[in-house]
Amino acid sequence: MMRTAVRWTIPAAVATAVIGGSLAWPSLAGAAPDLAPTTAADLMADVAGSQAQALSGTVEQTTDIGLPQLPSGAAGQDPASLTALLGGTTTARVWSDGAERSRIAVLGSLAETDVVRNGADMWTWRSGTGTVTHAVVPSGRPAAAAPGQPQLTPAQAADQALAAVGPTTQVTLGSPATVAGRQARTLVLEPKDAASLIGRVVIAVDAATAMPLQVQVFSRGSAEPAVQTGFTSVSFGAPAASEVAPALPLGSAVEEVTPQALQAQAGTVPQPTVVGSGWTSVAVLRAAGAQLGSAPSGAAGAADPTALLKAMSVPVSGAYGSGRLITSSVFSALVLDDGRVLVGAVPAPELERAAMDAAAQP
Amino acid sequence: MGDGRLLLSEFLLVLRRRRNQVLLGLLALVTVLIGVAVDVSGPARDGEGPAFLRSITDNGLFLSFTALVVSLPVFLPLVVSVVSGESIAGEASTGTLRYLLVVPVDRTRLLVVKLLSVVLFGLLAAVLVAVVGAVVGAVLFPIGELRLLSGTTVSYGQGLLRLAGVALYVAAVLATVAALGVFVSTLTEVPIAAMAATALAVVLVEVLDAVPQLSALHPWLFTHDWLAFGDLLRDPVSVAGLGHGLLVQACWDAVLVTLAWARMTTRDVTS
Repeated sequence: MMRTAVRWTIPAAVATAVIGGSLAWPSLAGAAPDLAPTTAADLMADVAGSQAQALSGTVEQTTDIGLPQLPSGAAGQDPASLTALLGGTTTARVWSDGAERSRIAVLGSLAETDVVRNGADMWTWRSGTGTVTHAVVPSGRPAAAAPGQPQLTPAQAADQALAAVGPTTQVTLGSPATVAGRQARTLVLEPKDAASLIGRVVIAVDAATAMPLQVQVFSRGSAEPAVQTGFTSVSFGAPAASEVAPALPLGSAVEEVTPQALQAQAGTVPQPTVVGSGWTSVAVLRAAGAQLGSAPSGAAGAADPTALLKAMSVPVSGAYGSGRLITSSVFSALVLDDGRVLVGAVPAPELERAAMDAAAQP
Repeated sequence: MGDGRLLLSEFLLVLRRRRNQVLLGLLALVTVLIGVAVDVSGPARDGEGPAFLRSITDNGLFLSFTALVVSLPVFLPLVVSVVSGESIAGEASTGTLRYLLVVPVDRTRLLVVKLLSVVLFGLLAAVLVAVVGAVVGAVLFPIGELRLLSGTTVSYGQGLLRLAGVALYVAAVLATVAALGVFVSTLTEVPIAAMAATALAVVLVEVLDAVPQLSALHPWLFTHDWLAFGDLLRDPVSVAGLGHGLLVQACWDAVLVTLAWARMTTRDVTS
């Protein structure tokens, strides 16, 4: 018979092993790889020249930008709704044949939203309502860039960030990393203007294919990313036809979204006026605020935009007028009562200054 | 061989308890009531009620999934809490634990048999909800091809197979409640205290899981991945969530079972 004290050490040892294992696992899996040296310019050129890959994988987007916690994520809710993407973690499975066909399945608790793309045709399936919508979108445009759809894939996010690189950005090579079990080089984009809320953007580029695997956006002075989107697993090679082009219920119940309606959905929103330049530029949208207020509520799975705005913002007023202010760690937005909406990656005072700019008047 | 007979006789003993029969009956009744309610009042509107409720009128098999979603947070853990809280403390309170141990029954073996009989009861409860749901669903509603969360359809047979997988996953998560209940049951000689403590512990973990400020902790709570069985209803089946869920359950099981073993083999049995 073992002594009493000895017996109690066994559960203690098991608990220690479990906790130690779970804490040590991420650092074991994410060890920095040893890669041949390159330059930031070469790496950017590699990314620009990389081919679209046939792949299947899992993408995770985590957003922690300091907005108030919004009610979302209940079982059966639309996982691709705006509230789900503004805070918390969204997981999606992606398939692409590297050419015309792709599928993004946004996973929710007991729910799923699929965006299936075949050339110019785009179908969206929502399990919460059991409906399919079909739209014809200009080909060449990535599936998830359609209005109302999340920017989920790292490649799209990286393209956006790299397109913004200009004289206001300092690009350096970061330390190598392991992303989704693959060796990756990293590019660090830093705004030169200290007024920007964004501290740096880190892009992890697959060493073998030059495809961006992960994009992290850090707010100024923060060690934890405010927004991170990246593969948690990826395998290259053509996916099965049933995976990339699932047989959705394409009967009479399919709701057609015409290009006109798409445009209307994207906003009869007029072209924004841009005040300032580079990372600190502020976009001014006119008459968008009024639309926000009158937008149809109770749309499938989406929260009422007016209530959403109320929950996220505080009332403000000044020489520029009055309205509501949304602040987060990476962007600020000012929704004015005169219908103007100002958005930028700058602190609130910069927005208020922009609101008084001559170019931003209603 | 002897172990198998011991387990069987213990399991039958659990099944013969009137209280446990009533609990199983109530589980079946909840399932039937959902089916009848949907049949009488018509299909649910979008976003109304629990997940899958809307789909029952399309395919009766969804009654099983709805009933499992409804009973998983409270009802099923409660049933397992009652049976597991009873397991060791029940013997201690009636004074039979001493006699059991006078007969040369190894304490470890007794613990394993008690635990496995509770795990089997959890499996029975999950399968019961699934089977009653499938039968009532087939009687009241149309059956046929099953539309998955991904929008594609599978045959009814494939649907039944996936339902079996869901029931097994539910039984696996209930095994953690069983391990927790048996451990608590070794701590006391008052069965009702063990039952209440186990049920409360499960609810407490579920509350912690709902507090967003503790989100860093969430992946390690044993209730967090309970609804991951939805991953079995995707096309293709997604294994990452299920795998993480089962891994977390296994970690909790290992800790709780060794705790119960340490307590069981060192306690003084006086009654």
